[in-house]
Amino acid sequence: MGADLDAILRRVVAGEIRLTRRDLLRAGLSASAAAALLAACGGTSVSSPPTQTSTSSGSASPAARATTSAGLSATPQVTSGPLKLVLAQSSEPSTLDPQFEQSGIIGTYLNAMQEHLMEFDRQLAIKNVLAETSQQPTDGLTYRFKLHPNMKFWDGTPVDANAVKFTYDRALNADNRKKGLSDPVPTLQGVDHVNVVDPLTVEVVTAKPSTLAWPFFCQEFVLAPQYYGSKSFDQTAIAPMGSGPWKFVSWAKGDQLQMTANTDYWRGKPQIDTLVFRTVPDSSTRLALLQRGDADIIGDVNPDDAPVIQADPKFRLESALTTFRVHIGVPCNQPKWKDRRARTALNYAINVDNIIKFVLGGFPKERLRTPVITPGWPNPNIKAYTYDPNQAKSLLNAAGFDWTQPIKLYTTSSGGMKRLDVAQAIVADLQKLGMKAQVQVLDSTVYTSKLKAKEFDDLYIGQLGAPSYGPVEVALPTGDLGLDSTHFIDATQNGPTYLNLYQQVRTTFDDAKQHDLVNQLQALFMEESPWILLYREVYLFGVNKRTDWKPTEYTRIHFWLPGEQDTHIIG
Amino acid sequence: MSLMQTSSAGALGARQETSRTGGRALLRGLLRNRLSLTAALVLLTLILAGLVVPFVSHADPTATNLPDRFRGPAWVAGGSSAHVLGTDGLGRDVLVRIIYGARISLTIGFVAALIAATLGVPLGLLAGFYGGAVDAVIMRLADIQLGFPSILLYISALTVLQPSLWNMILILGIAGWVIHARLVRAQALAQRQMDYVDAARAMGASNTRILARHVLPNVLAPTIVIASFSVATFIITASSLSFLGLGLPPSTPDWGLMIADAMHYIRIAWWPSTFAGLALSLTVFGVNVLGDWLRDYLDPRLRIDS
Amino acid sequence: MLQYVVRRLLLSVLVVFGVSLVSFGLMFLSGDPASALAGDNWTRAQIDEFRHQMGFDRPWYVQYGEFVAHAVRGNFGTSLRQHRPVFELLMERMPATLELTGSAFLLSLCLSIPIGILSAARRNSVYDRAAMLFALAGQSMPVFWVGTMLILIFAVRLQWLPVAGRGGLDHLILPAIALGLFPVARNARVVRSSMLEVLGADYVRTARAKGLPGSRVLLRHAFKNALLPVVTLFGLDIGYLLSGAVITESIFAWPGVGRLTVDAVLGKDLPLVEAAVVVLAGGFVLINLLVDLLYGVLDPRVRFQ
Repeated sequence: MGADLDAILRRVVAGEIRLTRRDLLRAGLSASAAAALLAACGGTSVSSPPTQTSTSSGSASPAARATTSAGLSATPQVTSGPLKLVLAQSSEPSTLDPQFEQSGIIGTYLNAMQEHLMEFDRQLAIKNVLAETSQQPTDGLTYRFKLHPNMKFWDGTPVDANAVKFTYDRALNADNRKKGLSDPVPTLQGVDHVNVVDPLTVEVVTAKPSTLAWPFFCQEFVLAPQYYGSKSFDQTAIAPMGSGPWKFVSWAKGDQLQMTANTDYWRGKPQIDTLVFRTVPDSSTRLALLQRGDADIIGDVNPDDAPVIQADPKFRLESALTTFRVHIGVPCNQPKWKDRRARTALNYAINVDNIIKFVLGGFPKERLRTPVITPGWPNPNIKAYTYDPNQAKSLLNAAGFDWTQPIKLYTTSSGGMKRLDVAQAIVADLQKLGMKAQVQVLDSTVYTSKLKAKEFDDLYIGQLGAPSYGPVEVALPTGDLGLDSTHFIDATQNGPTYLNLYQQVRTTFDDAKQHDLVNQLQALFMEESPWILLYREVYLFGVNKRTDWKPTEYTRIHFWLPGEQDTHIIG
Repeated sequence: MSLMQTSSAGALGARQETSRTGGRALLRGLLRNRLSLTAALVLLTLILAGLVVPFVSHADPTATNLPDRFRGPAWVAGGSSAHVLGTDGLGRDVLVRIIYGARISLTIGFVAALIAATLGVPLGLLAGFYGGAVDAVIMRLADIQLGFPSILLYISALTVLQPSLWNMILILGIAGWVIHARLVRAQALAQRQMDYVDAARAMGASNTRILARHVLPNVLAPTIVIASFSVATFIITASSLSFLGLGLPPSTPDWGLMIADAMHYIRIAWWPSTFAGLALSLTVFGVNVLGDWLRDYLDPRLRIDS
Repeated sequence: MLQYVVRRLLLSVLVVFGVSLVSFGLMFLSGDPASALAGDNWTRAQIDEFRHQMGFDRPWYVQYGEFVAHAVRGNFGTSLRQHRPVFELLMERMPATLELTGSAFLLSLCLSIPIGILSAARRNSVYDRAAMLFALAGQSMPVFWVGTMLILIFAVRLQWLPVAGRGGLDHLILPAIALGLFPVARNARVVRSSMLEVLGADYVRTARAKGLPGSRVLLRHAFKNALLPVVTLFGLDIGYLLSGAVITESIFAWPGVGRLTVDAVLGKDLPLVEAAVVVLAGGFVLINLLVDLLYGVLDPRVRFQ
């Protein structure tokens, strides 16, 4: 607690100095702003435990934190202007309305501006954010959340039970869905209705008991009822409203999104005054931006460029293992892959370790052992496969494999780290074995259509992510999370058993029983091998050492995780 | 990018005399011009390498060897004589890929140019010779084709047909017909009014015969020149599509694809993109020089003061 | 003259209509937009419902008819991915595109004509050889290679110019050069050969024989006539620049229409693709109409019928 108070005091002092100076220019509001800041920071002590990163932020004196626009001017300046941080990513969301956008990229944008009831932390554990307390159902149906008091959206309206109810009602409204609103969360959770118990207590009630519901509370941004209730969809698409640490300023599509610090933020004022997200499609250009000091963080770094970043003392390389499981999907309903031994053989046939080491620069760390990755949930008895072409050959021969038939490996050209190179390396391994294999590149929309329509007639590279929670992860091969074609487990011998056990885990809320079932399901999955597990997708970031920002495993880009300090500029 | 050289077409008149000069004169002219000779030799070497090496060598342009990736050229530290021009991101031999790539890249350029001319010349002849409704329909089609932002046309057509070498060639070729059609139409219009056409008609020659025997030979020379220029354009366009991830299957040893792919690691390994780029540039250079020379040769007015 | 313009405008409408029909057909053939637009978490029942709601299950001519009926009233519809009026989306990006293509066009105009004229005037000189070597090289380098190299040299190594993005004039230099290099190189060659052709013509020789100064012959007589094919070429260049900018925009993170449209094609955002194609084709057709009119001004022999 002492360290906590210490950290807060330091931030207040630092913040006050910066604030007064800037406000002197604006002439006027300095006193009240400083007071507001004090009040806001006081509020954080309840929810922000000391952080691992506070050592680095603590060592920075106000003078050292002065912005020198990333090393361009060598002379250190004592004046501390507004602190600005620029992040460059390869793509941007097509809309900023979270209930309209389906791509994963929107989370990386909105995490700075909007908040969930709960959030995954760095260890993939679920932590409260807007919720002060959260409770799993005792009746299997009712999820109860008590919200922090005194939280406000930027327009001053309260973040309360009514806002949670509004969020779900908006997402479930049939008229809205006709207009293209496509938020999958309430449907996946099976939400029936939302009860406002009192202004700060809200109950989300599902129609049927389902263990799927719980982690998805980390995925539904709570919306401001007044704003989202009065604006049209083409307005909310370009200008979000939220309760988060940074406020939306402007968005030039295809170029950049600007945000400014929310001085009234309920966890305290963030240190970074201006946050800019730039859209830069070309990876070489992004690296050039980092090198020039025009960007502080760049995403989607090509692993081949990693040594360039590592060799430069101004930068550091950060990698985040994501929850995407990269795998080869095997259509078990096709004659050539119907025999389980043929699928098992593929596990031995591909030198995954070599692919990880050479093609992916060693960043995915290790070959994926089971489809479940959340700490505490993987079945400890399952061993990872090792490369053994002879074993593969004899298994294939035992399965009566026809070596003359053509084998295709479908993939998209984009959508993962070095995906095309990985596909080529896999096919090269299959060719070495004696298969007539080749890579077939599909346009990403064609690929997705095929995936969804269950039309793949041969191997394909896939990647599937799920909220980190054992009972949800075993749902991936069942189609319960959508994409019902990606699994093909139902075509296997043990398919019915798998689906049966899975139904049990969906309605079992007892922790020990859940673990037991999840373990059984993993064993069944590995036995049938409807996927050849490869590795966890990695995102690489190049980071200017002036900031202490670190990526996270689940959301990748977050500037203020629960239980931590906000991202700082330290040099 | 299919809109190339339309007006170098305009700069070309119909040269009745040129098509009669014969192959020997052509060769003699070539030997006199040092630049063109060099270009021709470079092209010939690449074509020969692309044709012969795959038959006499066992090297595999798609064979990967991961631990051997990013090996520099033989004269650079870390390079080895096993890979004279180094290896790429999957440990494939750059030299082998460039030699095999000659076949692919030149096929793209030449076959697409051939398709474009085969489609464009007859359509242009018909439009110019018959005029009226035929002309109107064909020329409106040409306008539509020109008005369509070409890269969008390629991209949407490739998503319909699925990317492959022959689909790419087909799309590039089909989209390239307009230049030929426009040029040939203008020539045919002019020829239609010529006395010899009237004479032929008076002697009872059919339209088909007049077209084939009299008009076609006279429009052939500019067509060949335009085609030679578009070879280069097609190769470059194909590489641009590869850069956008829409081109050929990833292991294809195509120069454009090699450059596009190697641009992603240019800071780590400069050699794959540089050598593939050199090969591409040399070819485009060679084809252009030959095209220039061909035009100078087929266009006697340009030789007046030289 | 007026009659000619009206007739050409009507034909332009026909052409734009044709372009929109072709692109609609291609988009229709390229697969089911419903499953492409659906989120990863959607079940098949949800996708089917969505397809029906959006009307993608109707025959193509009904869908196209609906598009045309709305488009002629100026309503191009709402983007399926961005959920905003597509015309608004296009107009937002238009300034950036005009800035980039305009400056690349100016670059090609201001460089290729002098280079070409000088080359022709001093045929076979060292200057001519160097200029034509440059022109050939400029035509043989893919734009993505040129763009990346420009960034590595001028932005990263020398730090003279900004890396990417849209901003002040300094941001414009590298992308304009990358995009303009090809037309500069190609047009320089065309200007040269066009000039050479005219220089060999009788009236120029007559003018020379009359003892008119060389520079005057060159500009007054030769260049004016050599300009005709060049003007046509510049008209066609607009088409190349508008669509060819896609790669330049990607490399320099330039927020233009090209990238927007390509993303729309790949993302099956039908209304956006249609609107973009109509706007781009319309612009192209109009510019070429202007070029043809200019042609008439330059060459009185051309009569508008």
